[in-house]
Amino acid sequence: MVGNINIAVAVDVAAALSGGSPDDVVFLIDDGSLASEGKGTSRLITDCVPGQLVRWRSYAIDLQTPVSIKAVRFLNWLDRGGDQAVGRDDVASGGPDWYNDSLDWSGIVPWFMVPGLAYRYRLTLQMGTGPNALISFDTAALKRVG
Amino acid sequence: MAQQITVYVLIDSVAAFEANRLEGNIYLMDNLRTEGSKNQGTGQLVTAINGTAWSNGTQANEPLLNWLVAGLSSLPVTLPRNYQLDRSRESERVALDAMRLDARALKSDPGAENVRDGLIRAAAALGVHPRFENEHGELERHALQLLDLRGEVVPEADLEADDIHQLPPIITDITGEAVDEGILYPAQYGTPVPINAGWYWSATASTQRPGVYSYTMHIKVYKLIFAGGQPIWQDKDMTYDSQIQVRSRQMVNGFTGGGTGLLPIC
Repeated sequence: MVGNINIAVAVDVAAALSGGSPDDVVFLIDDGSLASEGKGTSRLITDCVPGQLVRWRSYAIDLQTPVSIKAVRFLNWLDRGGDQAVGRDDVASGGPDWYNDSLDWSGIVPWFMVPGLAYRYRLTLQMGTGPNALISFDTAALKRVG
Repeated sequence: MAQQITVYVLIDSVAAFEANRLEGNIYLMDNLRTEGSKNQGTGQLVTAINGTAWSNGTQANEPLLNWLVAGLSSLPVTLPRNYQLDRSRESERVALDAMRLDARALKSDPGAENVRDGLIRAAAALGVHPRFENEHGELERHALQLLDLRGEVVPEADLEADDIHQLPPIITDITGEAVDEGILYPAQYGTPVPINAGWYWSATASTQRPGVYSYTMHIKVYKLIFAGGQPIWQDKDMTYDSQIQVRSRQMVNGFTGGGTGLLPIC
C-alpha cells in the first residue's frame, strides 16, 4: 500500500514579485515514497501509482508575504510534447488570495495514465493583486510508475 | 496558505504621555489591505482575519497575528539590538582617550591652560544616564546613556533638546472581547529580531465564529522628565482598543468545485 502524496510549493514571494523567473523563485518537493526527480526545483516529477491522493499546497518562504495556488491544470496530449511555456500568466488577476486559500487542490491519480510518461501540469500562483501577482509554469509533472 | 498578519502600532509617545491618552496619538496599519482590512493608518483599523473551514466544520488554516510597536520620537526599531549600548560605550571611550591625553600633558606642564580647557570639554561631552523607577519603587541608574534621534550621545547641556530619542513604547498585554470570547489566543514571544529588546506579542485566531470583535492593547509609554534637575524615564500605562473582523469560507476542491475526484488528466 502506497500512501498519499503532498506536493509542497515553496515560493520566494519577494523575488517573484520583483520579476524573478519560476525556475529561480519556486521550489517543489513531495513526500511520496517512490523515487521522484527534481526535488527542490520547479521541475519536480512526482512518481505515483493509481489510487493515490495527491495534494498541492503553497508555502511562502517569508511568512508575512502572500501566496496561494490559483490553478493546477494538466496539459493535454498536444501541449505535452511542445516547448515548455514558462513565465507570467495571461489569466486576469482575480480576487484576493483568500479566495484561493479556500481551494483544496487535491485529486486521485487515475488508472488510465500511461506508465512511464510524465504528465506535465501548469501551476498558477497568486501573490496579492499587483502587477506581477500571477506566475505560471508547466515544468512539473506526475509520472505513473506502477 | 494565508500569510501571517502584522499589525504595526505607531505611537506619538510624547504627545500621548502629555495628553494621558493614546486616542489621537496612535496610528495602526497592517499588511492585509488587499484582503479586507479597513482604515489603514488611523486609530480605527479593522484587521481582516480570513479563515477557511473543512466541510466538517474544522478549521483549515490558522491565522497568526503579530503586533509590532514603534515610537514616533524614537530611533528605528530595526537598528541592531545593541545599538544604544554600543553608542554609549563608544562615547565613553572617546572621552576617556581625550582625558588620558590631557592628563599626560598636565603631568609635564601643570599650568597648561589649553590642557585644562580640553579636560573641561571632554567632561562636558560625556553622556547622561537617566534614572528610572525600578520594581521596588527606587530610582535606579539606567544602563543606557541618552541619545538623540541621530544616534549621538546627548551631553548634559543639551538635555532639554526636543530631538531626544524617547524609550519606545511597549505592549505589556493583549486582553478584551476577542480574548474573552476565545477568538484570539495571545502570548508574548522572544525573537532575535531587534524589536523591543527581543520581545513581541503574537496571537493565533479561531475563525469558527465570524464577526467583529474588539481587543485591548495594554501599552507602556515612556517620556523623559526632569525632577529636581535630574532626568528620569517616567512611564505611564495606557490601553487602546482595536478591532478584528473574522470571516470564514468553506474549502472546496479546486479541480471539481465540490468533493475530491480523479485528477483531470487527459
